[in-house]
Amino acid sequence: MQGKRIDNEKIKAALNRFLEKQNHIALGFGKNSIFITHKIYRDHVDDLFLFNPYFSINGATFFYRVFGKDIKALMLLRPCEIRAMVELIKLNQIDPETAIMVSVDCPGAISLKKANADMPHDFFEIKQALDKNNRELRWACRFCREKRAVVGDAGIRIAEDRSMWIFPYSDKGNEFLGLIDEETIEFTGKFILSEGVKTEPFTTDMATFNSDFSKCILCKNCRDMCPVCYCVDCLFAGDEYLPKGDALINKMLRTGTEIFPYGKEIFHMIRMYHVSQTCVGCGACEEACPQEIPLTKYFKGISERLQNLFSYMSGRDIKEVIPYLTIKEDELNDAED
Amino acid sequence: MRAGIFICHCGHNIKHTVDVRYLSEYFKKIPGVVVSIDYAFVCSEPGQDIIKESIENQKLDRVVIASCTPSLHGDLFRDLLKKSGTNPFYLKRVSIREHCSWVGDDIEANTEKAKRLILSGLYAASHYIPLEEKMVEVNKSALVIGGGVSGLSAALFLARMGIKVYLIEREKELGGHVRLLNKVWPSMRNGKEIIRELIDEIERLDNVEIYTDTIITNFEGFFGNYQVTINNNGQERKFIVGGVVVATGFTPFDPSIKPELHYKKDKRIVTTLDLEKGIEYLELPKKPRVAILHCIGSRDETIGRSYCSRICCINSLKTAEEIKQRYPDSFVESFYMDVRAHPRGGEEYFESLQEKGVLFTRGNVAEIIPTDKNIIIRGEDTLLGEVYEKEFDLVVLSIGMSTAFDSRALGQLLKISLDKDGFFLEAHIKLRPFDTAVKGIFIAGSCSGPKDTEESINHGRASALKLFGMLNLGYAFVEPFISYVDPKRCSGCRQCEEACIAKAIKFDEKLRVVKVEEAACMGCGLCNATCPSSAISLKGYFDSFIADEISGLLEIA
Repeated sequence: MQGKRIDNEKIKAALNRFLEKQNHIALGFGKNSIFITHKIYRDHVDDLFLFNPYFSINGATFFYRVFGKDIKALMLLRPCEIRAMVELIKLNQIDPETAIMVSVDCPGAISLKKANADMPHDFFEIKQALDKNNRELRWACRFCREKRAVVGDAGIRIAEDRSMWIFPYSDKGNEFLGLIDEETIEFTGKFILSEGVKTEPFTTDMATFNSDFSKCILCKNCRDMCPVCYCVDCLFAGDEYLPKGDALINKMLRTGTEIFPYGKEIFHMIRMYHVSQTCVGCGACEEACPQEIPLTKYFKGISERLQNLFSYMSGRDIKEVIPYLTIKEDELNDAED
Repeated sequence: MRAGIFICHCGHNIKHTVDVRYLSEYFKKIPGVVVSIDYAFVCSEPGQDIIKESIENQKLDRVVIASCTPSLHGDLFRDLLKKSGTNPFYLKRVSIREHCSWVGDDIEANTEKAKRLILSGLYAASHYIPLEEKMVEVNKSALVIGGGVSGLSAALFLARMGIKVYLIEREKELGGHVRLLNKVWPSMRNGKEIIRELIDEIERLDNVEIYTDTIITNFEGFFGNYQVTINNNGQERKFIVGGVVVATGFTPFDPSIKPELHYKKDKRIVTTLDLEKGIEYLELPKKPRVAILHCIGSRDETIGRSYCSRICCINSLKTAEEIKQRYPDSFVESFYMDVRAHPRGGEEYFESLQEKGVLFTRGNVAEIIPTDKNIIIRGEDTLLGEVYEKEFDLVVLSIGMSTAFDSRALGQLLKISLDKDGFFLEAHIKLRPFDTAVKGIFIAGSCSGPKDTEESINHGRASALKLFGMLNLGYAFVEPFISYVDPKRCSGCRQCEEACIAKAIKFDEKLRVVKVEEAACMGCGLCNATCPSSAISLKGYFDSFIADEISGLLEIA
């Protein structure tokens, strides 16, 4: 494997070189007053953090519907965020020419909901804190399918000897590697992160589903924070599925007593049906839920089971076709029979 | 909504197990229902008059007819609504005969079911919107794909009736496989002569353009306006046609797929098609012993060809006769499963050959062993229950028909379906045997299954006539049940574009939304199901309407 050995400073230097050009921006992690969070740089990178111990929002959500011509955005994000970007590119919500996606090995994260600002920000320190100090690793991270930076245009990987490397996966990645002041050499060592967790196929029943979702208040935050829930106008915005006002009263007069909020089961079911093939299992929905419903368990579990049926993994490769589009004309006849 | 409900007795068909009088009284009380009538035969003249009068007097804007299946009398009632001055798409047909009265004898249960069916029909009809059938102009020209005997017949018939015909052929010469035949059964005329006659007649007409050495590279559009791009010997050409006749024919089965037949390894093993060149080149002894093997490449599950090729039994008989004529002292034995000499005169032909001394042994050959002197054949005679082992000088393989090698690619290009064997599929095996599921595209000849020369000619002529009937009108109506896109909701993800098999969805780069090309849309609803934000709906079939239809079935207890 051919790559470049790097460190934090070299990446920063390369980023600054990248930002010198007009209409070039970079998205990575920076610090707000307290926590490490997403940050967009236009002119100069000062406080870049490659690793973020807190998870709040999936970074792909910010880049939803970017079609601006001549804009180049370089992203240094977690693999789950890059995978969501790849899915959005497949869904034509981002111009593929715009984004240069560099994934970074992920040590896992804790939920920002429960966080104090005392987490370290070095890869090994984060990993140690999560392993030993019994800090609560997020559910989604514990069962993460792909922590390794093997997706996107390039990947920043950590070797067992604590050295940091960057490997190109596409032409755009090679372009960025050209900005790094280092020789391309062969990597022969081992990486610290191995393959993701293999879990049993997810199963559940209606009783558990009902009890888990009984707390739902239909705020629809999970939908808004989901990186692959991309429609400009959601079908739940109308009153066909979630009637309000007169439509609701008319419906109730005809059908009878109903428990409120009305239609939360159908909301989650339809949303699951819509995102299950593209879900990257990042758990942003659960972060957004004010009622602490275990959404990741359902969305990640079901989508991984479904994607496995088609040997598909969302965001793995930009050329892979989303399973429901691989329909063949003969299959229509099968349905008729 | 001012709805009218008309419940048909269908003589005794519905009345004897459904309480129609109770139903008509029940629906009078439902809000929105103005008229509720039951009548002996709603489809009869007086029945139609009742509907017409009710529409005119009561100003009905929804008509629910509870009677037989909607595929029966569909156009009749639609026309009736049109004549009565309402939009024909305000009609809802409810099947209470096939789906209800014919199913069981329990009057109470049947009446309850009919009640729910009619109520759901009424709920659905309440969502109906007036739709317009769009008229499109039809280009009076046709494309005939394949210059075999079937394609030539189709082209000739179309051209004679004044349709501009583009005839394209992949090979360098017209005529297909019939051109290769020395004698065509039953007239025993030379195949080249038959083809020559057809070509001469076509060449006399000035509205046929013939392109040989040509393939189709692109095909899009809709009935009346198909845009075709062809590659004629390296040159690209484009033209617009109203309809298409597909007559791509077949490929003879290649016996070398089965190595145990030793075809092409031993020159004493030949096919019936090889023998059309003549027998002389084989240099047979004066008293040759000839074995004819039936069903090579037909009725054989092991190579995925379970169908009967229909022509090869007659071909074997013809070969046997030819050998007997050339070598009167020869010994000819035919090994068969069944002799299916089904065309007219075939059975008599079979008997005449038995009289001439051709031996018929029932039992397929299990093993062919070529030796220096002769060819040994082993198998089991299923009538006698004995194993035979015989020596021959020549083995003739009676080969069947396989699909044309590029039929799958052509099917994808034209968007027409294939059956499990890879032949083109007709729209209905009995009622629409020449049509495909795509409007204006017809099939002719052995591309839709094995056919002999006579059948292929007739098939070609029939398809030509059906196409002429559609083209000659000069216009066509487009079904109004097509997709439309709400541009406010569309997020431009273009998943529908990939899902659409009719290629009717186009992306607007500027607005970043998709648009439906109305004339090309087949109304299959794939885009509808693909769209996550429900920006696409099928005119006449909204989500809310189907939900209401279901609730109509479930609500009343």
